[in-house]
Amino acid sequence: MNEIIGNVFDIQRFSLHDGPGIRTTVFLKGCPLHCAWCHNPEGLRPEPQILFRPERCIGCGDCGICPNDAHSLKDGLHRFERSRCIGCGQCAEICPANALTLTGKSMRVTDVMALVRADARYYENDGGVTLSGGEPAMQPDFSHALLKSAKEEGFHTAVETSGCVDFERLRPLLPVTDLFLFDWKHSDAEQLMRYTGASLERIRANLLTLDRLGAQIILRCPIIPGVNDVREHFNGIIEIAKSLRGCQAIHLEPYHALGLSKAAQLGVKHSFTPSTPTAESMEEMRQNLSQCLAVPVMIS
Amino acid sequence: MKYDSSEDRICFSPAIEALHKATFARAKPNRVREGTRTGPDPDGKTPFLDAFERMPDAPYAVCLAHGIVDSWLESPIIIDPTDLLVGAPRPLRVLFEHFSWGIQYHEELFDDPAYAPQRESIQARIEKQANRLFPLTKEHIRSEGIKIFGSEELYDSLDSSLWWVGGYQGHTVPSYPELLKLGLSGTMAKIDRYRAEHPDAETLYDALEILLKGMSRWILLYAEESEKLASIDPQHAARYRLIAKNCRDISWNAPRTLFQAAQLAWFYALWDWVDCIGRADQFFYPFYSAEADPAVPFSREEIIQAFWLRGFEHGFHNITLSGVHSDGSDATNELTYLMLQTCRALHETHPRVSVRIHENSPEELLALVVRMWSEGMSDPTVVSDANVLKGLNRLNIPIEDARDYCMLGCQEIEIPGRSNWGCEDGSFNLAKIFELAANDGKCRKTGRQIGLKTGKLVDFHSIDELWDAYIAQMKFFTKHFIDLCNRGVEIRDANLSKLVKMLYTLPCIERGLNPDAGGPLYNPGVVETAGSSAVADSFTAIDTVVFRQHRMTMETLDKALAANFKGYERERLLLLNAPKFGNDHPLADQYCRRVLDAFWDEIALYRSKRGGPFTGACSLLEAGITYGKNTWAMPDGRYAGEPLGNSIGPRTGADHNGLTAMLNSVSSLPLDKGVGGTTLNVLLPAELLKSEPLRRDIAQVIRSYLMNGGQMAQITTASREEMLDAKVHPERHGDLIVRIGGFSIRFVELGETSQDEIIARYA
Repeated sequence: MNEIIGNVFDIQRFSLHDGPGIRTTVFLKGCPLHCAWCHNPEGLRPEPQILFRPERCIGCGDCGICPNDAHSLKDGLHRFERSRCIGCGQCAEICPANALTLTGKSMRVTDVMALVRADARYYENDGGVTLSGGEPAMQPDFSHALLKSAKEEGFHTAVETSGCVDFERLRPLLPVTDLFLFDWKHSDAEQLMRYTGASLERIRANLLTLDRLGAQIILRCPIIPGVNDVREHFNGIIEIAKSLRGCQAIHLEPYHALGLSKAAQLGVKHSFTPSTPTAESMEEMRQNLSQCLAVPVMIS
Repeated sequence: MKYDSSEDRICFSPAIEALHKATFARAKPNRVREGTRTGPDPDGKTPFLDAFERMPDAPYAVCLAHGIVDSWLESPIIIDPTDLLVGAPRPLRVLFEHFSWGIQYHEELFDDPAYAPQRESIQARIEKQANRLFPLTKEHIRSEGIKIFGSEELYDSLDSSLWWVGGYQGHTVPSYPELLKLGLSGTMAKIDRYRAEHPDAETLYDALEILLKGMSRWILLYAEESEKLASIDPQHAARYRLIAKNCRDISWNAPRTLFQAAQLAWFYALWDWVDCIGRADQFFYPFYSAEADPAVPFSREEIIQAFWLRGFEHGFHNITLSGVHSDGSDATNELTYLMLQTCRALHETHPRVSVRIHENSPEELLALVVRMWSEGMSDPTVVSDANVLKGLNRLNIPIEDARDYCMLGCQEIEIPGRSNWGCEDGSFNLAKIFELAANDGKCRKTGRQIGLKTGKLVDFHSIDELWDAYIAQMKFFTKHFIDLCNRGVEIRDANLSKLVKMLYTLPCIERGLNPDAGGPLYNPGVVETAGSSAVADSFTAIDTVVFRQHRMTMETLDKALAANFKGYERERLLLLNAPKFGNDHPLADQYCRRVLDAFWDEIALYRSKRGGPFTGACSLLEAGITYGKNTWAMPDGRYAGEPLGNSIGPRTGADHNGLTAMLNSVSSLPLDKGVGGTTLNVLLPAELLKSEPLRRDIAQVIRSYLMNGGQMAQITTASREEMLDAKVHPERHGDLIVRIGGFSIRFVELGETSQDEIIARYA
């Protein structure tokens, strides 16, 4: 089982915001949603992709190794024809300047566990491993095997999910997951569909089922100015939180623009550029929600 | 209040608030320790010269002792109505004794109006007495070095590029427990008792007697002045009379109350140049927990805070708190917390504080420490008992004494009150050794043949061959380095540089030997290293790029280095992007272990002239910059002249795998072989410490690190943005405290290179 292979695009050690304690967060590639504000655009597609940072390129031409001639140098300018790229990663392997890097790596459960274990001494009682993405439930076998291994070694396990998958993909994770970080991005079905492509019905149903089956849940609510910083959505958060038995906390996550540069490196055009909420407005939202809820509301 | 609660903050009483204000009004704006000028202005006096001239036939020790005593007796007696504890330092003078080298000559003071008119006459007098004033000078080291290398020019070129030999400050911690137990009279009795046993040390005992009796007279001057003030200033007469009585009580006899103990400790600390004092929460505790003297109107808290403010004003170098008792049980006490809370309330760079952490350290202790960091302080430094005790065991120090260790100097380690570890005897630039090993023993900058002819880069066909060349160069220079370091010990010994410390360094009096001649119980040598991460990263890069990936030949590497990478950017990036120490990468970490093992095992083969074995240390930053300037381009992708890594940590900016990975790398190093003290600078930007759960997480990380091979961590909490702004608007960031080498320092007081180095850590 530990030979099962997953498609991982990042492993971030010393994570302080993806669950309790010190954590190692494993980011799985591939996501059913396409949120307009996506902050991990390299996690969207399941296949490996090349990130290109032209400002780092020194024009050495080593990337000429590409079997499909996706890279060309003309007048010192590096042109990357993404349509020719098959994501083999040979150019990234050879680029001396790290101007080309490959995102998405096939890893066995054992490979990931070796990295998770490296920080075991810092986890103590409450820290551990968090699966994020992308969408971990898109790779249910790998996620299950990884979480099971982590649990067997005594680590706390958490899964961050959009909830927008067939429940049968979430079900196997339930017994090996101590905490679900469940996204609640919008309470209006039409708006949610418009900005993320997700079905509110399916998400709501999955959330309620997880809760009914005894899952511990933290609701994670990205705050995107102009999209969901509206009273109706806050009422929606309150309503859904109240209907859950296992809801431990609400995390409000202010929008940040870090995804934009990564999107550019992936060659993805982005026209959606909301503003970043101010600390004061976030605190106001937090207090308003706090007044209506018994569980803690935090800004992360 | 409960001192151990991070939620509660201490409030100063009106008496302490007044003292606090008066102290700050006096404190000079420049608080960089080595440049500190606290106390009275230069006064044009020459007590040392006078003493030597007055006694043309007396032995050096006796003249020195008289010079020291006179230098205090001739200094102004300063008492402020806000004082609880009294005692001010001496004015700076052209000649004064210091525990580093003996009598020091400060020619720059001739520019001061107090000395300028006497410039020529004093210079002539000094010249006449020079042989007696300075039995040995640093020329003693240099002449030996020139003999070894056969050339003045060659030897001088090694200075501050390859090494710095012979020692620096020479900090040691006197035994404050012994001082407070015996007082001056008990120490005199001890001298009388052992004098007969060591007739050959007669003049040394004479000198100690002169010091003791002189100190007693000087303390009485404070009593007399205070009595005089009481008679002319009725408004503060009660306070003055109290001070006078306290001074008289301890002017000869041992202290009985906390008030007396704190006063005597402060007087002696002044004579010891306000050097490091060791475990203050331990040696004051018996007095703190005893019944208070009803005649003293100050609380225990106020007395401790008055002592602390003295330490702030004149810059105590290092105070150690908590740790374990000699039986291994937790030594944290109420005083530990009171001192931390006082330090927290002051929010200053001095006195610097170290907290010892062990497996049974109370959670509240580390919580309070992390809370102080979260408030922008870089103190306290935390130190691992587990790692240090393991290292002290290597030096064969019995466990009961080892458990009493403390921090001193920048961030060094010793057993207080019975040690002289040199602190340090020298520092050694491993990166320069690598440069020589990779260029047939020639300096790349000057082309001069400095080291052994161990072959050029192109001659090496495996990484092992390069390694062997490196080891050969390292061994060759280590031998001479240690030899020269020991010449430094001879200077200190001949100059009796630690005469004042000898009074309370055990068992110097019993043995009739001064602290640089084997008088103390523990006498290891300590040498600093610079460049360990640069060397490790260079080996890793060559191993990876040349021998594993075959993406570069040694020939190309040689050319790229010779050109300082000009025209070789592709090669530089290949090397730069090879694995680096500090990322929990097995290859890079393994090289760093090998580099340190090799050097620390090598020095352990030698013995200090003081008697003990050598051990390693690494707490340099400024030296990493100086050495960096004199080190050519390295195969880790570093350009010629760039700073080397700071202290024991990774090359600045090279760690990009998160704090835990960096801590794993560092704690995998054989730090117990560097029990002279290996500093790790850790960046904890304030946003990582802003909430209680985050602070708990950080405490957990730090504790795990210290329990699993880490030796110490000192913290900088400033954010990159704050520091960038502070460069432009220094006036807005006077309170920004950062950590370099072993110092807490105000960012705005740093030179630009140091400022940039720290900012680059955030890259």
